[in-house]
Amino acid sequence: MLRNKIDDVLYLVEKPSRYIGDEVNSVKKDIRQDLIRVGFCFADVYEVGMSHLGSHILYGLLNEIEDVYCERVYSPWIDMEEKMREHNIPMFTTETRTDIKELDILSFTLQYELIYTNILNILDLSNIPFKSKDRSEDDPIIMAGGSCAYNPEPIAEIVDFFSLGEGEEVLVEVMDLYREKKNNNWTKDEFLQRVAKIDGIYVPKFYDVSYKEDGTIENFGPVDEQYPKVIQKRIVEDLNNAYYPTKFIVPYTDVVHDRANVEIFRGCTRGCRFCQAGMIYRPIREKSKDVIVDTARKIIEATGFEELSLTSLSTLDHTDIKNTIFELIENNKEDYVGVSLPSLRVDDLAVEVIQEIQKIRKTGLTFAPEAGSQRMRDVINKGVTEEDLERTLSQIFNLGWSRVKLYFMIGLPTETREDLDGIDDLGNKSTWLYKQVPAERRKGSVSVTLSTAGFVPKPFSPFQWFKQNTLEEFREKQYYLKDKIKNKKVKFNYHDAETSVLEGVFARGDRRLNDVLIKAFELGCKFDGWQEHFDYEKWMQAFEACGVDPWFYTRERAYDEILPWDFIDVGVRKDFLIREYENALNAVLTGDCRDNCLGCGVNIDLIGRECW
Amino acid sequence: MIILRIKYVKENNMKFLSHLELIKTMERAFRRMKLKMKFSQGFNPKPKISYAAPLPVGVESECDFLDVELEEKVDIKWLLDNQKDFLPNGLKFLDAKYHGKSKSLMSLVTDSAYIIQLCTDEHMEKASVQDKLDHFLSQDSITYEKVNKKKKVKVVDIKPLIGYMEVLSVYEERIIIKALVTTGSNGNLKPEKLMELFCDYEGIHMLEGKDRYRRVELYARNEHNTKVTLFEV
Repeated sequence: MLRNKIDDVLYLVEKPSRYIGDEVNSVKKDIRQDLIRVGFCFADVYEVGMSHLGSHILYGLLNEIEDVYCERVYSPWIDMEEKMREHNIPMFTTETRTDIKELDILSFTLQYELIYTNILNILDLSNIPFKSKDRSEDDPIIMAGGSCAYNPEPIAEIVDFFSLGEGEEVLVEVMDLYREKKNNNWTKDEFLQRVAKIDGIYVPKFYDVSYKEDGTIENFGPVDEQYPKVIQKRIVEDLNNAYYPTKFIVPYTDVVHDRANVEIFRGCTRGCRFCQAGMIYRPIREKSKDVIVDTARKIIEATGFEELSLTSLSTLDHTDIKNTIFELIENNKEDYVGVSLPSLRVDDLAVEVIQEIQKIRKTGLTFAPEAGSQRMRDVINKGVTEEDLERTLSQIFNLGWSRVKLYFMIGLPTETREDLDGIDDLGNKSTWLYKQVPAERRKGSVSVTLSTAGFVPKPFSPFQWFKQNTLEEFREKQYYLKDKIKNKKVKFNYHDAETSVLEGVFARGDRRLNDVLIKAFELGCKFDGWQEHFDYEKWMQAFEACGVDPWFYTRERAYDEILPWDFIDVGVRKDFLIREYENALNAVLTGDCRDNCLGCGVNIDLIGRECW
Repeated sequence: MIILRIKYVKENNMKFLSHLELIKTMERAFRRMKLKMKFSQGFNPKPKISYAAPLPVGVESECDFLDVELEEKVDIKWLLDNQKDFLPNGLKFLDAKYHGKSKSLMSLVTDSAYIIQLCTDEHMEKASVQDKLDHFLSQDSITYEKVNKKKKVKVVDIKPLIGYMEVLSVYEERIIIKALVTTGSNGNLKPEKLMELFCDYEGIHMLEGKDRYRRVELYARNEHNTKVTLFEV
């Protein structure tokens, strides 16, 4: 029996608790014939996958449907995969250890591009053919969603259909249709023809693409008039009444975000120009304080988590955030449940809130100025001034913090030496500000971490036309900073430039990358997001073998070029993105759209009302 | 000071939890039960829970103990009757008792008994396995070389750490052995090491990755040096 076979190998691998399932609040159902069996797959290791909030929401939601059983699927770690292959163990679900090949639907969540080879590995472990066209009626239907689905083309030949936007409503519609498929014995194709007509669903096989001689897209569109030319993303209008789980699964092992997550709003009004999330999740929709507080209480009761995190794209922008946080702290301090916030903007509210939070539990502090110089922060429309930064740092040091982490991007549009120097300057400024704190309030020595990541231009952001820095440019900038940063109290971190450029290729890639991806997997690529497993040379081999030039995808794009993702409508208009890109190039701030509507189009095209 | 001592089972899937994972799992279970636990001071307050003898990953136990310090008493009957609503499958409270200030659980533990299953590549009779055990134990000393943290080699004699070893049964290629070994701060013998030395010495080919361990008793010693349970000490 598969169950026992798996048990035997669990004795032989690292951290077997990743694979046992059976966690508190994981869902168990009796396996019946009429059950629609779904595998919800995050193609990375358990600790990473379990930290993804969206998966928990959709897992809970699907399992609320009586005749649907949604189970989780995660990538086995290298040692486990080895044992699985050695003992002929197929890829199995966490809940019932069922071979994923036996499921009805296998749904992948796409949170970063470098997960794609892991998707292939998961299919491979259960002998499921990679390409949609090679799969039979017996194989599961493969769907995908998540932020990378906004450019589905690099995996369009692998996935049967994509769900664009928020899944809460559309997944229920898909399940209803799948039930009909089961009852009426439709073929896969008969199902796909129908699912393609659900709003927000993209079935790639019903769309054709042709290319010009220079490699850019000549035409893209449906093969048949019955399919929509443009596919608009789905959103949930009212978050206060939308489904949100409270019985979160409680992991045994230390997962990356091991805590209760309460989502407090979707969307963001800041309009940072590098930020895809800030564009694709529009419009802003808040949950009320009462809903947040009530949800938090229920989650803590059902899980026993010792930490509560308020998640969103920019948590302190919630209009009632202060009262919400203070109430949560009041409710939870007796039980020593800490409240934490994801990385913070640098402003006065942050200081006030941090002061309150530290009364229960003191956590490390991470701020994201994103760029070192004021000019560059204006280019990206960050809206944080040098004075904001100084004041915030000085205040938190005065409150007794001595360790702070600052996040930056390198390779942003119009970047010069002075902008890079600004990162070093901020490090020095931080340590200098610490020295200004009266000695009796200082706790030991100061430690500042400057963390930099190579900028990857993403679809639907104003920087989607920008030529990404080359590997050499990134490296040169990293070395420059490494040399430049001499302060002993400042630690400099940087992300591997090779992964940033590969991410850049796939972020703005097209259908021709499907074969490259499969080739790369065949050459042994997997866990590309893990620096120790990423093999740049193999990737370059794969591009060469397929006759595809990777740098075609990182080049500068013309405004009139048909982009591979142009058929998707996220609600934000292209002319707005162009305007914002031009503003960036001129270092013109446009500010927060809550104060001043910039006409991105979401209000008119998507919701038909004012955002705010 | 209110200390609740709980005897619990850790088996099935839960055997795959590391000790740190078990600590977290227990803490969260107590939180779900709304036990009023006492917390440590400082910036990262932790509930005061201590364990008798951490188990390695993969080892089951039907006799482990923990002490949890409480602000307020909880009804033990309620705790035992309702535990299923809060604990994951494979963790089970067998009994619980209140006691006052005590030496740390870990320092009380002196011996533990294990049931061990070995798989070999040949069938042996029960009597012949017992003969081998007796032969193994008849040595004046049973030593191996241990490399310590400073990479120094030290010869360790485990003979004084073995209480007894007996064959319970043999079926097909599986041997079931029960052994009592010293556990705790005054010497500690891991059953895995014991089996490795036994099989090596007796030329038994043990199949790798197929040996299984279950702790069945955990003891302290009273003032007469008699073995007692951790509830009695």
